[in-house]
Amino acid sequence: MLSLCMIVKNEEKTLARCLESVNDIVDEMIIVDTGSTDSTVAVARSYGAKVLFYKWDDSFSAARNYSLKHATGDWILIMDADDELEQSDKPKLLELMTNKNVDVYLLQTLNYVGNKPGLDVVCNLNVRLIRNCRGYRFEGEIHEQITNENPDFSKGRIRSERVKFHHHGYLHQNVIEKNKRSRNIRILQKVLEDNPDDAFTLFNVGNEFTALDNHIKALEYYGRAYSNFHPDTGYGPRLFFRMALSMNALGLYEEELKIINEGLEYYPDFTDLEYLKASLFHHQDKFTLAIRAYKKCLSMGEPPLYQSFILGAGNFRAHHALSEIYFELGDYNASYNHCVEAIRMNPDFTLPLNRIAQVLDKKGVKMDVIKSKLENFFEAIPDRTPFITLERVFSGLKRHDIALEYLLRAEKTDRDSADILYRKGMCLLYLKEFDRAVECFDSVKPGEFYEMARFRIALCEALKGNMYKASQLLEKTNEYKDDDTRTVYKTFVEILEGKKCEPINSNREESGRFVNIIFDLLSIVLTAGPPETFEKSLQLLNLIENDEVLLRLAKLYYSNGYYSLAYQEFMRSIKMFGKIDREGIKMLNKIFILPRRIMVSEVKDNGANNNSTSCG
Amino acid sequence: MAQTIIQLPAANCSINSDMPDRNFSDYYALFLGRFQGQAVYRSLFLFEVPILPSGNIAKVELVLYIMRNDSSDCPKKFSIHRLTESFEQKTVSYDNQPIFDERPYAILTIRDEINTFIRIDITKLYNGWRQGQFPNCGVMLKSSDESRDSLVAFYSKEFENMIFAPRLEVKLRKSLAIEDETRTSNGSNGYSIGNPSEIYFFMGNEYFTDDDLNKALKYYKKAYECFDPGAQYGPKLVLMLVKVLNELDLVEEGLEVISCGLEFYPEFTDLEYIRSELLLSQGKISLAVKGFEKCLAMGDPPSNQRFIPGSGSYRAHYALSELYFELEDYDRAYRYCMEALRLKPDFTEALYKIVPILLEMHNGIGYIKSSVESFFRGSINRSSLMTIADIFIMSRKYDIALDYFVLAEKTDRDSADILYRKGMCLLYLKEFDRAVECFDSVKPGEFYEMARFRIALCEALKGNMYKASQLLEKTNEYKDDDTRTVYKTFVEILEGKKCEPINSNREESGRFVNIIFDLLSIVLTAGPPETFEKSLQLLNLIENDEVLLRLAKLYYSNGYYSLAYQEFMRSIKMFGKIDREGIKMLNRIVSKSSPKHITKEICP
Repeated sequence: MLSLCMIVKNEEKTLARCLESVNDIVDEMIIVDTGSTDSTVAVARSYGAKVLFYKWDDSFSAARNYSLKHATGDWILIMDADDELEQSDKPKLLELMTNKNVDVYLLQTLNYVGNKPGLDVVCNLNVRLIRNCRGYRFEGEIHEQITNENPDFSKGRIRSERVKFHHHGYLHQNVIEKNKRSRNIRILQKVLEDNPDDAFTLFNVGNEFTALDNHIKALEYYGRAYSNFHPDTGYGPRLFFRMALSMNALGLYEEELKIINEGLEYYPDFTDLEYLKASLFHHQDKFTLAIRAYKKCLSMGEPPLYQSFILGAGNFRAHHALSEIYFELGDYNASYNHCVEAIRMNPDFTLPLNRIAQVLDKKGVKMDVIKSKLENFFEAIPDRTPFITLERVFSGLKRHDIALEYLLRAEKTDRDSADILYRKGMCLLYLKEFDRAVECFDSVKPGEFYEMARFRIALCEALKGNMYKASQLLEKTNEYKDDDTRTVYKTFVEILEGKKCEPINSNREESGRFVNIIFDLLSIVLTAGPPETFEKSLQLLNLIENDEVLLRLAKLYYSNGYYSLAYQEFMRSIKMFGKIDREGIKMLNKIFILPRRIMVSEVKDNGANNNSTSCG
Repeated sequence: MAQTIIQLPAANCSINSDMPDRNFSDYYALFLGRFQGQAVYRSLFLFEVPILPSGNIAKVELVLYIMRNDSSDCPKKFSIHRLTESFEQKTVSYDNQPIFDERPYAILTIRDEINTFIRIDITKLYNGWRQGQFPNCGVMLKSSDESRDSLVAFYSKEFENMIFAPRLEVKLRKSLAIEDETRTSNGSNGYSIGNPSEIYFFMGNEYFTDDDLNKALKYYKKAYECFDPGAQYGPKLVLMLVKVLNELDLVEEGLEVISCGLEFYPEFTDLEYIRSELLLSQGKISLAVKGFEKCLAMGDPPSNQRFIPGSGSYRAHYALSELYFELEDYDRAYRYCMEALRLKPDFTEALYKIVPILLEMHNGIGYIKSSVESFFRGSINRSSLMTIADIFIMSRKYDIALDYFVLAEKTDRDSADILYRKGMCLLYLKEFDRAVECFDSVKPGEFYEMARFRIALCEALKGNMYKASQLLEKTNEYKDDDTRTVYKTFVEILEGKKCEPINSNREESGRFVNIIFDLLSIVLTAGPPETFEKSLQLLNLIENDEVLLRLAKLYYSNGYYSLAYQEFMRSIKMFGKIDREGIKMLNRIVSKSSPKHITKEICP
């Protein structure tokens, strides 16, 4: 019999997803609420949970132990409300409970780093499954560690296994709940008052500061933890990993390399550290060292579970990184081979398909052949996913005609899907088929893509020259919450009409929001509009107060292959705003390597675009 | 391009001191210089001087094709002498060799050239013959120092393929010039030999020497279209075509020719080597590595395809060493550099590279010194000491360099170049008094005037402005006005005087820029920060838009990365000036540390 034990507070948004993922394998749900003011308790009860109340006393361990006390099953499953069990691992989880030699299981938690759950995954090991009534309990105020009241308690009865839980708590939106972090820091610092050298607590304070993006403070605490550290502690590998990441965020590359090498001395199988080393070398353009380090990752393979933070560091991800380096170095065959290996090792990881398409394109392979090669990666095409994947690949290559073909095929299995309709509209827009694009956008039903589709319709009309219609359509968007897009689009239409325009924004701080919208627009117009329209629309850049616009413009030109225009704008960006960044310098470096011929002929082809903006 | 008349020798022959009574007139090669400590070879040539309308000759060159070069690791001087007595090709020997004018007419230096033409300008001599100033008995070529091994060989007119035979190229002025195309019509202009491809190749070479790359390309391409891969000149044609394509920035086409060339000549390592270099210049590092490794697997090419010495051995090792060094992959850089030196211990470039590598690998200076010395295999003489000192100067190890100059001095007291360079080391080490002493001992000659300027600089850096000015007054008689102007201004700036512009002519300012940056780079190391700061005012006193770019590079090469970054930005802002090297440096700077940290670096 399996009992789920949780502590919750105001988790109405996530709780259902969590409970849903284990509903059919747990026999009881013990949910301890520490003071929710939303519908958390109601959600819990709707799943038949036994809800208990516990007055929060600044200790996660105490609350956790309180929940354990009420469990009646043979085994206890521990989760947080923002966790979700990987569905394919259910049988494995149930199997674990049959092993008589184990009392406690550490299982994998996958944390998602970016804005959306996707491929940037960091993993942890956490106590997830405990045999009940054997005296196990938690200690520690924030980051609980498992202990046993029985002094005979043997570490041999703890084991780690590859059963995965998805943790959604580190997604950007959630992290914004900074108050929680500050509260944690407060609690931990209280602990430190009594025990100022406790390495684990110091480490945890560091983690809280990391979550707040305060890397300087984080490093301060990690450093103190490191000076009191013993290599056999469970969090040891994690400490090195975190220190390296913080140093990287601060650009302290020499220190980072040093700490990585020290970590590898303690933990020679710690592939993730080798992976960080390779990434650092890559970032610093030390290509041969980076290549060797990634290859070392491959020969090391996946690290022991308790040293595994980057999913696939010893296999698919290292292959993917190698394919990126080789592509950057123009070594297309090597790049291709590593892409294929990456996909072979993790078929869910389809990102390398983009690179494969680029490699084949660079090598002058015909589009038909590229298409069939890519399609061959998919064993069967049971649902729309492969088509959507392929559509993205070809959109990335700016082959909107082929992307459109895949969308049409995807549409067959999933009619009226808003995202397919919207993307189809975008392809047609890029292909300058404005009428058909409008038709698609028009079919998008209210929902996620609806408002954006309305704006795109106005854009289509403007590009067709129907300024009046475009303005009218934009008037109708007044009820939408997206004021910024409306402002930019309206100004765009006014510019095309030759009207004198008001500044879009004169607040330097706020202007970043508008810059993104403007550049989204410009990149469409550069492809879909006639050169004169693009030229005119550059006036948008004069109507905001932002010193990165020329840098962004340069990059836009670069990524569209207008290298001499890009060069010109990089120079102007430096002259007028003193703005340049790593990526820009890298692009400039590439531009200087190009044969002079390419630059010259390009200027001829695009002479019309010269001297376009007059910022300043 | 003017018309060229080609003349083949009426007679050519070499003579050998080891077999003084023998005649070698029917041999296909001509030898020159000393061979293995004994035999001394000399070569004799006779060309007919035709009667031409006077005043039409623009240039006359003796053109020889080097087919053997035994001591390719050191430069060798050869002299050309006018014969005052005639010789018979069929009978001439070392014993009965003709008398020659002891004064060399011209000196030429041959380094590691092989399978290539060399040219010697003998216009005056030819005119002398033509105008009857002296009889035309021919010329002799000999080594300038017949006590050293220096064997070089050329094809003689007896060689089956006339394209490689010695020849005179008589260039006429425009008045006689005929249309290009007629040059290729057989026979009329001395091109009575070979097939059309060969002639086109030859034309290509002509234009190549004339620096007319487009025309050279046109003829090389024509030659390439109909060439016979079995022909002697084939490999050279492919190589020249690639070279011209690259220089014209037609890299992709060049790469194609290389691929085809390697099909014709699978052992032609030089082509693989050039391809690797091209890939490297395009930033295609992994492909370049594979390419150079392939060169090593191929080994050196057969002798008729050997134009880049060591392309399949030490040079490819060295190329890899440099590549890895650039990428801060020092273990590999070390390994390949050592291998290059093992194969060729006197390979100068590698000797200069090994010290920076060892320094980056944090080796002790004692170890580095003994490593470098070991490559000279115990023969530590004046020239090796000077080389070693120079190697350490390159790495800014002035104290170590100084030790070697002191040793070199023992072998050659009062040598101006040792004294001057020793003075420079002391100057960099801020030992101004000792530096002045050295500079003061430089006797009039090559280094004298510069030494006087350096003394003034030492005094200025010691704070003796009056003395510095006085010393500079005394340099009025020297021809180097520019240096004087810059140094005087420098002293005035340090004295806080208001200075006149050094130069306001944009075109001319380049000359001054070099002198100023030579001065600045010394002051940056040898002077206190305030002095350097003040001396930057020199840059305001000339009209030149590259000064900030140069300043940025100066900072960069001295390790002041944030200052370098700042100046690169200013150069772009104020003058719109940046170049390939500058962008590379910027890229390096930002990859070393994120920009927010660059600004933290402490100013010098």
